[in-house]
Amino acid sequence: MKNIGRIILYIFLGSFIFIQFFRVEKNQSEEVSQDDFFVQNPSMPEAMVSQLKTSCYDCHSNFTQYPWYASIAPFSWVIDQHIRNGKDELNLSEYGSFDNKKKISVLSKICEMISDSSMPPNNYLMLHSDAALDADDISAICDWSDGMALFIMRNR
Amino acid sequence: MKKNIGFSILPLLALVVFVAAQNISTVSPQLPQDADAKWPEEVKAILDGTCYGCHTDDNGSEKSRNALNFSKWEDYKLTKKIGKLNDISEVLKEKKMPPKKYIEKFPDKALSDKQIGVITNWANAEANKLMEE
Repeated sequence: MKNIGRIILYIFLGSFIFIQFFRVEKNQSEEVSQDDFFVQNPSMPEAMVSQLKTSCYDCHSNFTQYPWYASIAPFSWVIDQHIRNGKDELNLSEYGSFDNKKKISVLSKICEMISDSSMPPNNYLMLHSDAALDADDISAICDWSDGMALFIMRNR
Repeated sequence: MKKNIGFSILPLLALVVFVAAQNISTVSPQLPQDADAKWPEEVKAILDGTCYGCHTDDNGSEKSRNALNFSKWEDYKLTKKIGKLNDISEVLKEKKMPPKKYIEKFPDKALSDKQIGVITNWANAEANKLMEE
């Protein structure tokens, strides 16, 4: 019995060490591009910029801030997958390159996703409580994004 | 006797059939008249055949209806309509829609490149039109 327990432990430890050799690249770009969402929207209030970066940037930009455990497999793989999915869906670092209709779509969807609490996702919020958006945050962000969408529509 | 009854029943029967026929819908599921009434027939046919099955009231899941609900189209604000039309184009071009699992189950719902072209061209034109409003 004791032997089986020890064997299982060694297998587990061995596997754990083995998987550390399968590293993933970090999502950390060298510089902020001109297309970046916040560079494109310089009129956004600072507090809102800060909140959106905290709530969204880790998965929806080229600049992820990694927690200490992010370098450890298999967490590194899971996080990498989340970031890939997030960037595939929306990459705010490329906002400036979107055409007007797409910008309007992004702005509309930001409000939509945060309003029904689809975003940020619960599994992210569990480990990043500062990313949570309260009703006032959501209201302010929606007001801003709706206004910006209208502005783009009228000033092409 | 028989002849008399026959004559009086016939118009009554015709009336009953006429009234009943008003309830037969040719498009299923039925959209509010406003929403797609002005859209081209070939677009409506494709949407009805492949999309309305999940993206209308009482169909699909909460997720699919939240993402896009044609039954609620007239309630969408202008910028949301433009955004959704852009999204429709995008997801079709990227083959994210219809979902792979859905097509595996219902292969006849798959969209040909031609059908995708019809919808994306229409969606782009419609969005451009709305941008002008």
